[in-house]
Amino acid sequence: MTVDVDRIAQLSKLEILPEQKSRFEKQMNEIVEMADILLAVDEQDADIEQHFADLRQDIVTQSCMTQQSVANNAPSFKNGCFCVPKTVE
Amino acid sequence: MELFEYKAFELAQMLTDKQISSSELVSAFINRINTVDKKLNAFITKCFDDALEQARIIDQKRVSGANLPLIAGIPIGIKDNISVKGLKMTCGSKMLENYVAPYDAAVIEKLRQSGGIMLGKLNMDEFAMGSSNQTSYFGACRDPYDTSKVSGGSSGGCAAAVSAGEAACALGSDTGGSIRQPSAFCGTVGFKPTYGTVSRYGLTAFASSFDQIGTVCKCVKDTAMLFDVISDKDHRDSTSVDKKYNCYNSLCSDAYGLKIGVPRELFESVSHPDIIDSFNRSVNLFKDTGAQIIDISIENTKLALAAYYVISSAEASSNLGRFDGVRFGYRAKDCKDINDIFIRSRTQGFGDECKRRIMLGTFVLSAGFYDDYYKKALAAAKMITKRLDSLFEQVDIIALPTSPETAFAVGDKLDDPVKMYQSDVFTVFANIAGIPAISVPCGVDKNGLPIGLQLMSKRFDEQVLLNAAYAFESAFEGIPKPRL
Repeated sequence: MTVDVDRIAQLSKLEILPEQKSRFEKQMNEIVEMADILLAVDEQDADIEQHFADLRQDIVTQSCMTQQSVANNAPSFKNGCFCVPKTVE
Repeated sequence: MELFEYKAFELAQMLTDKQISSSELVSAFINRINTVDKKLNAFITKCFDDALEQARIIDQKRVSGANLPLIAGIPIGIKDNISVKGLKMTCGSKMLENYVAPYDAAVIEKLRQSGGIMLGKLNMDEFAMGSSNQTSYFGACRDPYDTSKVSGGSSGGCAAAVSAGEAACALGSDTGGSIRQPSAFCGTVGFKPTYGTVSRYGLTAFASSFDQIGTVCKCVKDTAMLFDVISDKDHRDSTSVDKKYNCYNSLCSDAYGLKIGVPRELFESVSHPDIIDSFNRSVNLFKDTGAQIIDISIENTKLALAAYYVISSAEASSNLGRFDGVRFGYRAKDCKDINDIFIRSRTQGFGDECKRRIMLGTFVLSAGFYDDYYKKALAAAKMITKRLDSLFEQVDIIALPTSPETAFAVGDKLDDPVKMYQSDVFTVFANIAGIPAISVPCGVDKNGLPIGLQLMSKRFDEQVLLNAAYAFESAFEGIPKPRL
């Protein structure tokens, strides 16, 4: 299996520069080769049931954070909103 | 003997007996950090003023006759992926270089309630992805036994700090061996509890079905003391279980009649003869103390590492989607539109190993490959878990080396991820099955580098596991301390 690094990087919202591409390609293909041992697994034998965590009650509780303490970590925050470049023309 | 050389439970006794004050103790550790950390790089953030203030408050309470928990006044280090309100939490990444945690993690609330004193935040592989601490944006953390060697990872800062006497004990996280492998490299006791016994609220998520907060300590008794403090039910972590432990007071060093399974089929992964020698001597020591040694086979062992990397990377690719340059974390300059913010912030903010894991995760979840890799990895993990569950009907403990090698040179394996991933070959089983596991020092190699013995038990059998580790530690002559 060969990994299409350009396509996967695009899906991952990452950019791989042309000079990095062959290194990432080689490493990714070696990792996937390591994972190829899984191809022989018959998942019918394993019974992969889904687990669901217990849901907590959806009730409003006192927050330990203020809006300001959260906003302090934002790259850009104005009038109670996170700011990004205009998205709609 | 200097104060920083004592074990935490010994320091707790000295504090209780008023032989020392917490202020003296914290000052001794601060001096030690100021002396040795430039050689190790274990700390990313230090909070000495706050630590001294907390120590002063604890001392006042003690003088006024308050009955304080054992951990009160003990200096502790925290891995830098656990939120401590008001302190930076970088996760070893440029992405969070300037992020200040706005709340305390559940384990930090527990520490504060018990009077534990935080000295600072400890170095780690970026977002806990690595087995050497070399992927940290803040530089590699080094092994106190030989500073040309890596501390292991991802909780390398925790293991190096405790080993070197920069903290009496530490809290780390273990997703595939991240507490146990660096503990093996640095000669500390590293403990990953059962999945769900310690709340992950406030731990930065890497692979949510494997992540577990645990302890790095100087000995098993310290481990039990710290684990008792942090384990509890927490409604803010939906995987948290309703179980409270009291391992410290019930610790027992009698291994008589204990059934210990040894899966020798796995040892072909070990090329280091000193590791096999130390392991065999450890097993014989158990036998001498009255334990019964039973040969077992885990089966499908070769699938474990592949399954672990496929599942953990899939979950990481999802968990790290939150780092988009919008609400917190690094944002690239002069972006022309929102997509530009996402792509350039993530490209500039994440290091190469994070990018590889995000891309591997995206690959195994993408159309056409989901059934071949992700679904089969889940099936393999299920098979391994079932097999381990059935083995624990025959044995109380499974014993393995912690790592197939001792600490390697700084700079090694950085360009060979597959080789790096082999470091986790013995540790991923416990994460896949959600069982508790501990690494205790069991010898040194011919270069004087520590070797770890790993013990695993069935889910929620922490007391049995810690007793077994305590029995071994009590019978073993110990390893020399690092010289710095």
